[in-house]
Amino acid sequence: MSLLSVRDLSVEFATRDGAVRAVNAVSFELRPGQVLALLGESGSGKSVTLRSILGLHPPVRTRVGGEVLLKGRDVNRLDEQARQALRGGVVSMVFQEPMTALDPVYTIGRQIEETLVQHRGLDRAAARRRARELLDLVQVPSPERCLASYPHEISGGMRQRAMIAIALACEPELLLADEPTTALDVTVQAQILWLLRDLQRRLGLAVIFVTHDLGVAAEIADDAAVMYGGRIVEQAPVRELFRAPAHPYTEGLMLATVRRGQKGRALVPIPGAPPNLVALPPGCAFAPRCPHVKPPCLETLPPLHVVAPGHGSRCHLVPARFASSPALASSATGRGGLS
Amino acid sequence: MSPTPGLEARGRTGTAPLLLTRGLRKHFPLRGGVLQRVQAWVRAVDDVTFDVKPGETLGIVGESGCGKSTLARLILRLVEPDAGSVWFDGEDVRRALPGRMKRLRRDMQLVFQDPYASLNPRLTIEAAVAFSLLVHGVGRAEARDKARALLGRVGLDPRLYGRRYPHELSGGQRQRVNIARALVLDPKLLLLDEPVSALDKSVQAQVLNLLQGLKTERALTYVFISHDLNVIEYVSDRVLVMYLGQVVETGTAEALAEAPKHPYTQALFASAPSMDPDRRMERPPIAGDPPNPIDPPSGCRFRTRCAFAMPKCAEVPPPPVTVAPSHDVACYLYEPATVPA
Repeated sequence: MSLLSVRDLSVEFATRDGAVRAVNAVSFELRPGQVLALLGESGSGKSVTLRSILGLHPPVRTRVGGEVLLKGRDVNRLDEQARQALRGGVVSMVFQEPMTALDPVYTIGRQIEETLVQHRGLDRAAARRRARELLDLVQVPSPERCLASYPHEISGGMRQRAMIAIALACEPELLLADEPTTALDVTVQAQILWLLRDLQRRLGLAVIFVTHDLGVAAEIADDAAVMYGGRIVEQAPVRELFRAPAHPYTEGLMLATVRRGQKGRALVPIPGAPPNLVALPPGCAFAPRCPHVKPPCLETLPPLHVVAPGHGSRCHLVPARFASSPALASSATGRGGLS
Repeated sequence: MSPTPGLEARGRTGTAPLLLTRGLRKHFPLRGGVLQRVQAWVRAVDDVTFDVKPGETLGIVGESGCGKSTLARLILRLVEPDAGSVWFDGEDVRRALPGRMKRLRRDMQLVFQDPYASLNPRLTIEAAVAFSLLVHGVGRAEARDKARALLGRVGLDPRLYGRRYPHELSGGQRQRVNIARALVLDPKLLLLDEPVSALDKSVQAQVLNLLQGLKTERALTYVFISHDLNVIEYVSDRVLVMYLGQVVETGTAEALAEAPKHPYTQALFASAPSMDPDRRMERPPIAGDPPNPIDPPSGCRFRTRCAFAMPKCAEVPPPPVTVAPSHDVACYLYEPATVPA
């Protein structure tokens, strides 16, 4: 059974310039213990999708459609109290910037303890012991000192570890991570990625990892969903995605990313700029930048074509370009369910 | 030190470097208390020496707080160094009088990381590009024509974009404006401080290709600062690796990528994600965060995170040794190679 099932999720923000359609009919499933990377550039809708799972969007000027079923319960239909319980139990979140996510006026120890008292009902002494254990779990080298420190007194890597400790305090089944290593130096990023992978395995966590970095996705994920213009345009097991990308945007992103040993060869950029989410085209949002564009791409939204088991691409050209693929079959509904 | 290091370096390498620094140092005081006394020093840049030949791209790579951005500002004298010298085109930059300095800054232009913060929100992009020409005494009509031509070259049609304001452009477009603005005075050297770090990958490639094209067309010399090793390896001829204000290794981009010598350079390369799900990191290459540049470790500043640290590493900072032609490492693990004179 899936732990999380997102069906036809759409999120719209009302702005002065019109409705920003940040997420459009996004569907995916997550099994317990599965690590999914939501991959995309700025404005692709990856972070908005993640926040919808927690029901974090303020009700003002926001319209959320579709369903987010967490262990069978629709997050959007719960009252605030029930949602609060969900956040403190089944699911928790790690943010990009620990400096802004942590409270500057309380010590790290106090912040971890507070979480434990609030959500787990521990008394102060028990909370203190557990806080110490949690810092051991995230491999903080001198936990006592860290507990007594304020966020500004410790390094960026330590702050991120402290935030992971807080996120794990309530023993969640699902961890949502929003670019948790983007603000870190590369040597520290390597440590945090390794730590998250290690914790994921040991605790059997399901993780949704939002990132703009193909390399990070390759390091951490079992599966990846590539987002563009508020839609999932391709989804596949991560190995499959890197071996045989089947959407022109994914291919373009891989060609445009600077890799080791590419010196002397010109990069192949994706021309143009990402779409305006206020005025999304009727067809494929990537069509204006796509090297393979055909007339239907400008008119109708491509359905989700299955390229291989568990590998889908929302591109009109899949049948023509991957005709040799034995597993080829178009999904009937054009959305969701890749099994 | 020779009074004219330009000539000395010419004797050694054949071509005179366009830019060279010798023993560059900058420590920023941290003041506190009622009397605002100096309580500590941030050792941002310590004893940095390098040459950049005309037409070359020197990459400077390092993590946050390693002093790479301060270094760019020292070269332009936007920050006055405490010690050491900067020579540009055979001239001692530190001795240049204000009028001469203005002229030198025409030839050395800086492009910043944040393309939005570095543009005046109240100037159209055409006016922003023409502005420095006006400052340097070029007539209004000529300045406008030059600005338009350059905007066209960086891929922003002046008829479509010239009258727009920075907030109406995307990040990549803004960085193109900054590049046009830096080039409008026909400089010889461009100091690029994380020029593509704030951009999405697909746009990064556009800007990197543009920079490579402009470099060839205009016979430019680049000092390219970045924390991204892949980008540095891609754009650079030679690379300088900095750690906490000091240079730990210099060499050609190929030599560093294939056989990094300094334990820090090795860790840096090993920490970069592989882009291959089948070759994931076994374990993190090094532990810990870079220490605070306030009161950095004695001796070799990397020793607190180094797996090979020896007692003598804590005593005296290791001097750079030449391990191969134009490959220098500041680490006690290496003996100088016997290079025939």
